[in-house]
Amino acid sequence: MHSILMSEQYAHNSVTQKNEFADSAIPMMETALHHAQMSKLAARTDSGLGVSLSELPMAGLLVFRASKDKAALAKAVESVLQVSLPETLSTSIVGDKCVRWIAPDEWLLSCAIDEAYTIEKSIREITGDASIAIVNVAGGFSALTLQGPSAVDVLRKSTAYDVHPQNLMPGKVVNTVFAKAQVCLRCVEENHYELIIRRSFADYVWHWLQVASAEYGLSIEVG
Amino acid sequence: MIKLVHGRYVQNYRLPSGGRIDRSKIFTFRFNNRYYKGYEGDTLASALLANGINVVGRSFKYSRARGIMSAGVEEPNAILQVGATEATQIPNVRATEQSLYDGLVCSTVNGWPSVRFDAMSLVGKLAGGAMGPGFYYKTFMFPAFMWETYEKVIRKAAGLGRSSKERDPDSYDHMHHHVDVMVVGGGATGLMAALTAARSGARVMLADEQNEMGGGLLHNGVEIDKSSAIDWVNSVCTELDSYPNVVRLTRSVVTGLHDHNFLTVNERRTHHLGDRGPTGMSRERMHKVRAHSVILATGAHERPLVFANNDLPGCMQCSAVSQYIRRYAVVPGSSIVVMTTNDAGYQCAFDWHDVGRDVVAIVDTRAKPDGDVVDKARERGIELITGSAVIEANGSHRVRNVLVAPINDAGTFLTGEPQTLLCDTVASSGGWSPAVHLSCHTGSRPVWREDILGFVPGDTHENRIASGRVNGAQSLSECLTDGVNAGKQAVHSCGKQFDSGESVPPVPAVVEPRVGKAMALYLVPHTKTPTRAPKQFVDMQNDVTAAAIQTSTREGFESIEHVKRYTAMGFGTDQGKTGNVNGMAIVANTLQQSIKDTGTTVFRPNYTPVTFGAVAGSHTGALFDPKRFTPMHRWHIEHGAKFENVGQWKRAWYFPREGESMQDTLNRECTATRESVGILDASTLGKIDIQGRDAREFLERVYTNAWAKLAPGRCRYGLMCGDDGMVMDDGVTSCLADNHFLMTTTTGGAANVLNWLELCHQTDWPELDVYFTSVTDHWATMTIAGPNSRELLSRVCQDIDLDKEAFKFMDWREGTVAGAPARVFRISFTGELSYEINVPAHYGMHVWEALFEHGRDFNLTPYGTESMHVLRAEKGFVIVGQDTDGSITPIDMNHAWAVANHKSFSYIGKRGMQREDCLKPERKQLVGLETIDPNTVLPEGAQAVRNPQQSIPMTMVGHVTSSYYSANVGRSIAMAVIRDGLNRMGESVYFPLADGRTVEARICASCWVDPAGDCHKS
Amino acid sequence: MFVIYCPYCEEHREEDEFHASGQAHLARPLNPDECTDKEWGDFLYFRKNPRGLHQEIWQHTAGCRKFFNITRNTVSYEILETYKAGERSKIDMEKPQHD
Repeated sequence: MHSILMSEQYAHNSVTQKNEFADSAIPMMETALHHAQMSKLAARTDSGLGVSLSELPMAGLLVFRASKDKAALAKAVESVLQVSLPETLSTSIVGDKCVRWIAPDEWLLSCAIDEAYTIEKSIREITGDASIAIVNVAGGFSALTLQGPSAVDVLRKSTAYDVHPQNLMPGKVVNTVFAKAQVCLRCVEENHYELIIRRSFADYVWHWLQVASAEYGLSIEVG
Repeated sequence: MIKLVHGRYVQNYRLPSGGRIDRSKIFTFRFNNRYYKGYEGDTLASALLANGINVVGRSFKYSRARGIMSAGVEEPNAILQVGATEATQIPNVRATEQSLYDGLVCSTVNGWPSVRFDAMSLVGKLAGGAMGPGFYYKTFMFPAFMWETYEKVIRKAAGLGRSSKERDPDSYDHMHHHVDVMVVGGGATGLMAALTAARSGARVMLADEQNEMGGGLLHNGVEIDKSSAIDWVNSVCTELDSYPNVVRLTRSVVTGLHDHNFLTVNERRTHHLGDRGPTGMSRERMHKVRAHSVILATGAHERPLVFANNDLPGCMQCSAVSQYIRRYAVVPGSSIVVMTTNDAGYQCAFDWHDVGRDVVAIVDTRAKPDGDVVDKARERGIELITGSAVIEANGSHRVRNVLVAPINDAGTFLTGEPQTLLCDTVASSGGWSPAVHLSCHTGSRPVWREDILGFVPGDTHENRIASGRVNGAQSLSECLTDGVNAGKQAVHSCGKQFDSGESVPPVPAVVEPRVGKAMALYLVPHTKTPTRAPKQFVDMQNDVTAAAIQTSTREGFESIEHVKRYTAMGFGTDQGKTGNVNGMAIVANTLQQSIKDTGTTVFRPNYTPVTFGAVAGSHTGALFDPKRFTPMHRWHIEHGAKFENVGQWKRAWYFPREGESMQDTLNRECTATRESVGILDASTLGKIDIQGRDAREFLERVYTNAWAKLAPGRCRYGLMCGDDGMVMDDGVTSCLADNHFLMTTTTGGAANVLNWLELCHQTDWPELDVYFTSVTDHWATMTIAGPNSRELLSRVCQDIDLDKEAFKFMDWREGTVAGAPARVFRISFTGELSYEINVPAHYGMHVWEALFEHGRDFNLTPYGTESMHVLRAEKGFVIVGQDTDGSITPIDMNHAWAVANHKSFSYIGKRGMQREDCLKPERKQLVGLETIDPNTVLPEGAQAVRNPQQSIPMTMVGHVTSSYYSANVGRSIAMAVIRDGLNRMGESVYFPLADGRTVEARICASCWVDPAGDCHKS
Repeated sequence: MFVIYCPYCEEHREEDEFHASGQAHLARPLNPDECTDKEWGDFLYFRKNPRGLHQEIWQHTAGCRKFFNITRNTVSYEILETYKAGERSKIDMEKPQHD
């Protein structure tokens, strides 16, 4: 028996519907960089500069864990998401869902925020008594994308990981140090990177990225 | 006001043509408050020499006038202070490394009050003995109180430059690189090696300290493949730049070569552009390079010879003279005497001769030199004096003449009377010392090679290749061959292949002259012994003389490392670039042993000085350390919160209103909470999701109390110890489901606790089925506390039965708060009726604001961490890390109730707590304190004594851990750890304070509010 | 700055991703309650400090969070091997090393 936060299942619907329980305002989701007003900045900056940065909208994030019953998890993931659990440092992608390898017994799924509950529930049903864990961590992170011809230079100023396209190629994901924070860094395609940062560090990383990309020209895009 | 004067000098020493300078770009610069002119392409040193400036500094110890001696990083004398404004001051700039720019302002650092007339030079002339070798030790070791006085005099006289007192307006940054092959040095060898490696497709970085690649090829006038060497350099650079995997850096000094081939490369990006860099461009960039293979092609530094007064302005390295003439079109004098022990020294006489100046003589220390250069000198009609040496230079601020005398074959004594030759410049060459510095940074010791009279890099387990001159190659063709081989070897060691044989570049053709054997000579003999002769300098930057080195060996400092420390030879920014081998030779000679047996000192990073700016990079100011924010941070700012740092978190500390003192605010916040309802942003609490079949068993093992029976829906306080039995962390852990728990930790302990759990699981109990995931950032946590908290919650939460029987103290429930999915925990850190509402962080702000919307009816009062501290202290609740310090067991903390002795597993901390020492009755125990005067608040950390009348040093029996004024209690309250405190209730202890007061306080139970615990259960 | 092969991520990574956690292969006594104070003290506080080969436990804190073992020369700083927690070293620790 695990506890899934049941109320998750209807909370997201209420984003667009008047909440039936509380008379207070409709619950408003705020991304970690809500205060930075990225959409206003996007309107004010030129596009097509050396680097463009966007904060992605809120997404569902689930941590999957399994060690000795990894096969059971893999089977359930395949059945629910139609993808296989990725191998070391790689990703499995289907539609808007992406499963990232984090550790030999850990993966991170991103999906539409209103799908997370169903996915967790379905996987738990399939895995039954198997030794696995699933944790909803949607609120715990901020997802940024960095694109453009100088994106890799900004990364080289920020992390000691080898981000050369021969090493960090499309589909690869690594957890590493970013400035003085940590990042789950994924190369989406050439000159296009995704950074998943712990929510409380998002403002620091946002500030850092502004400084590191200044010399290349930074444009802000709406995620 | 400093009066600025235009320089009297008009580049009298500039040649009418030639050099790698752009005469159409005329720069004005200021040196010691006079204006001068130079050209683009000049270094500061070449521009100074072009203007006939002889004296660029005063020496460190003896305050002797010093001039420019070299043309590269090895320069020991021309070390200047650069900067037009206070904010842009940079100390320790070598004039030979600094490119000239328009508007450059610089001044000498030594010399007080001026370089031409120096009061301290009297010390140098008359009282030199007072600052003899070992000066630092002899002077400073005692008496201790004199330290400061001496230091002031030395610092002022030494004038080792100064840092700006203002904020540096420039920015600095770092960049990381991973390469297959790192080539250090862009001379002939380095270029050849980089080209070879690049052709394999390997990732290559090539760094050179100069403004352009080429090294010696830029000024030695040789031909490669039958055309100018400079053409060859250009073609190699063009090819390198065409490869996407090659990074080529100029003005970039490899300052350190660290473990596992990690290199720091300091690129000066804007130093040549102006006093301040262009906006948006960092002034310096520290490249942090991880290389699979490193090719050291660092070349060699020419050794000047050691003779009397060899520090007079006008004494230079032979190669430097050539470099100034050929590269900068500056001839640094009118008449030259060249002294050399080898064929290479002749070139500067030829260069001098070529520009039509007077070559007085070439003094060759060898009796019968026989290389091609000898014939060439004769063909030119230059006077050649063989088997002789310049034994002394004379002059005051510039060489006026030299004494030349015949020497024996070994160069150990004079064999005839000296003659005087008039000249204003003496160039000397004692051979070349390979620049082995980087090879030594991780501990490898260089190896002496008698055949080349120099140290070459020693063995290392790292993947490194020393190539070219640094490895003892003597000719250009050897260097080029070495470069190709090093490139190939590095490529193969990376597991890469060349496509075909053709892609390896052929070794270019070079015509080599016949070279005569060099003579081993370091210290030139004099008519007098070193201690009686005029000073013979070995290390100019540290003012170390041959006599000083002999003195130190006589005094028993025979190991070269001891000589270094006794004399300061090779100290500091110089790192023994020109002087070390000469010094070692003198030690060897004095002790009658070989240089090989004498060995070298250790060369340490950095090779050249690195600014603090480059070390810090962008990690300054707001980016010095990450600041972590909760989802409700914006609200706190908008409502005037003061913040405090808790680890990296910025937590709301208190919320002052207009006109309130901090104590006023705390009184208001604390009272409102106990009277109605207060709210705290507790999102920073560490939260760890624990799942797995053995999750409960795991908790049993890491907590001191019992977890076997905690049912889903229930919460429990947990206390965690280390194996030593000392309290490590605490928090409430809730049972979400049979095999699913949510652990909370202290804000500061979150990361440590998670790592601790992982360590225990992964290394000690891997058989347990359990998973830990940090959910600290996922949850926004807000604590509402006070008698009206239930009422407030009911306004925003309809799907949880809040009835006090249905939702009891230490229960948690799942539901919806203000429309957001939530877990609500009925736990209390204030002793009041209290709910901790957890919602996903993205709903945090929404829920927080919804609570305030409804909170108006209850005077909902936000309180910060300070009131939280007061409120919990009123109940005697501890804060781990404040009331504990790693020496407190649960028993000491009066938490025996949280220690279960009958668990099946010997949980962590159990055995530790039972060590003999932990069972002693006289341990410090956590108790409450009330000062006799209720308005006196004890300072936290104050030390307790039982009898304040005892003589000093008093026996201390404990200290105050927490102390506040409590408005709710109406008096000051405190917690303290006091020896045997739990058995001494009602007794007084005394706190003698630093301000002279002694405060008396009575030991009491540490709970002042609602001791029966009715409130939180209400 | 070391470069360390993480046996779980199967890549070399920079040292700043890792955290050293002291001597490896310290077996926690199975029955702590039966240890004498001396035995317990030895387990708690006494550590090797060899000149030469040393086995240490490190955690890939910024990466996969896994603990693993390193055999390292404390003189040359050469890392001879890394291996997962629970695995055995392939190095003969008794063999004299040149530094």
